[in-house]
Amino acid sequence: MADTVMTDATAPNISDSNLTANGDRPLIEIWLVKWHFVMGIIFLLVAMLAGFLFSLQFIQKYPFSGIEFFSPGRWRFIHTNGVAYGFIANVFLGMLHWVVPRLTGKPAASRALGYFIFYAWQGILVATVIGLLMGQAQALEWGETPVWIDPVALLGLILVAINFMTPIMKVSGPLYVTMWYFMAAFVWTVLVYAMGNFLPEYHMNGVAAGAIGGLFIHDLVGLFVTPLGWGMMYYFVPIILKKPIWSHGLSLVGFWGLAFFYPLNGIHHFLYTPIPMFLQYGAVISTIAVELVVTTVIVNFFMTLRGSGDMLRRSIPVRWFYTGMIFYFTTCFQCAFQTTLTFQQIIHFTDWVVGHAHLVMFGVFGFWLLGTMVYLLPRVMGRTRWYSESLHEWHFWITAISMLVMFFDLTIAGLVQGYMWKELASWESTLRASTPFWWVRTISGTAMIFAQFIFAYNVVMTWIGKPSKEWAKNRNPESAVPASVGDTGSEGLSPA
Amino acid sequence: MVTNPKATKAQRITLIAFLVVFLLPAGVGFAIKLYEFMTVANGATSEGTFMLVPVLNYFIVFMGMLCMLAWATTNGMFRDIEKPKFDMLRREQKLDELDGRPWIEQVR
Repeated sequence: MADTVMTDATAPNISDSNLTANGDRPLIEIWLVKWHFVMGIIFLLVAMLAGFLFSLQFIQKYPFSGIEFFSPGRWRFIHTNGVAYGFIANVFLGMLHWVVPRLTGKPAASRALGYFIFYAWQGILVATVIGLLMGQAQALEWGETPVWIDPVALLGLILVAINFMTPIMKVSGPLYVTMWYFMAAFVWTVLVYAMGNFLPEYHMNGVAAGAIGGLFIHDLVGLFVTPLGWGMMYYFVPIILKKPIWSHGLSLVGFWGLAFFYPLNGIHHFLYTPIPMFLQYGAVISTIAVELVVTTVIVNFFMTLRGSGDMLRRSIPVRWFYTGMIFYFTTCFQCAFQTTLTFQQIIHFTDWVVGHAHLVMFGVFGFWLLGTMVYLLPRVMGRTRWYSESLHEWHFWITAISMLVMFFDLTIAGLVQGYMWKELASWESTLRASTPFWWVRTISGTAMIFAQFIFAYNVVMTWIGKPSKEWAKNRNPESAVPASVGDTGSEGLSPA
Repeated sequence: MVTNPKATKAQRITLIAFLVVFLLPAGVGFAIKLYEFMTVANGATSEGTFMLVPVLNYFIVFMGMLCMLAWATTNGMFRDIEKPKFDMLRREQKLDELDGRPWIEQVR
């Protein structure tokens, strides 16, 4: 299998750092791409281990009970914030340093600013972890970063917007859809972060602050992660498949639909609360509208894949991307139903929601980011191929299967809990019924973490350039490049 | 070399079908909700006037996007709507070739 699966582009002897803009500074800051990716992987491992620790509390196996510093609730904050701001934000930043210059033909606004953002962002993340462990969490889901970090983080987001909006704004003529998504994401992220972290903290209280909290949670997904994620897919899928997206017009329908329908979704997190019903219904309608918009995006990507289906088998990045897309459609389809009041009667506060959140954040965006790193890391590390293709297979399949197990496990657990609560079963009996599901969650999570360590090992071995047995076995004696890569051309496509 | 074929009939029909069947009803439903918000804002009903601040957040984003859409339309961003996807691939091809990477076209 290993000799048919391609994970990187062939780059004999030439690094991308050779490309220059205007003959002076590099078009792409390779170092920043590489180190944002590396830091993203490190935070992914830390955040996943924190999630594992937290899951032990549910099965009454938590090893640090009674130690305030290691309170399981604090580890949960590190899990969610570590994934969002440590893994996802870092890898997105690395991706932006690669994609924006290549799309626009212009480097980011300032080289120094890029490096400053890199170091400042890692500082913010470390300070966040320390602050959370010290018990300084802000009482806002997904915005638990201590209040003294919020203004610094917002400043960082503004600098990111300046650094990448500058080259995009210099482009003349019709923009490619990726640039639309990126521009919107830069503006939205700043607005959303400011809204969620400052309004409830300093200006509002009661139900209105709750509504802002709901908007913040969901807008962080829909107006920060989603536009960057889809923008990324609209770039990488065509260049790996070597053919344009099926319909650029349809992709713009998806973009403008997201722009107009998404911002009001968040209140659906607080159905059956004192928030006025006209707002709750508004959130339900806009959520269903977004599902219709998502359909346009999914149709576009699968029509693009038509005729190239074999790439799902041969290209690991394409496999990550399309698996993520299937999960994306699943979560949005699920969302359109679960925001209805009928569904909410059963699933609210249950593990159903936890399963949904894991599928969105890791099954979709995590998968896309992993696919992007699989595609780009050898290039930015100056390597012609990965240390091991087999390890990529293990990484993908263990991650995908354990993700599915966790999703179905928590979905079923949510239904069990919801129906038991509806029948007014005693709290103790619902805990007893939930425990087997929580064991499965911990076991599937452990498998997921193990798979990411496999990936990290592959990254390290690729970086240090140590040849593997697999490499030697597939080596083409007439070429400096191993047979599995060198004979099949870019991205594993057969030569014409 | 990547070329610019015109959009196929299937692509045009799909685009229009999605616009009419999906976006139009969704837009109408959404417009009704906006009308309700306006009614509350005008004081026709007292229900939840305290919620107008959160809703204003949405309107700020909405108005920004509306301005952007107007700017894009008047500046010809949607005139040759399929062109950017070919331009993007051409640029990638050029960059890859500058970088010494073979560019092998697949199914168009």
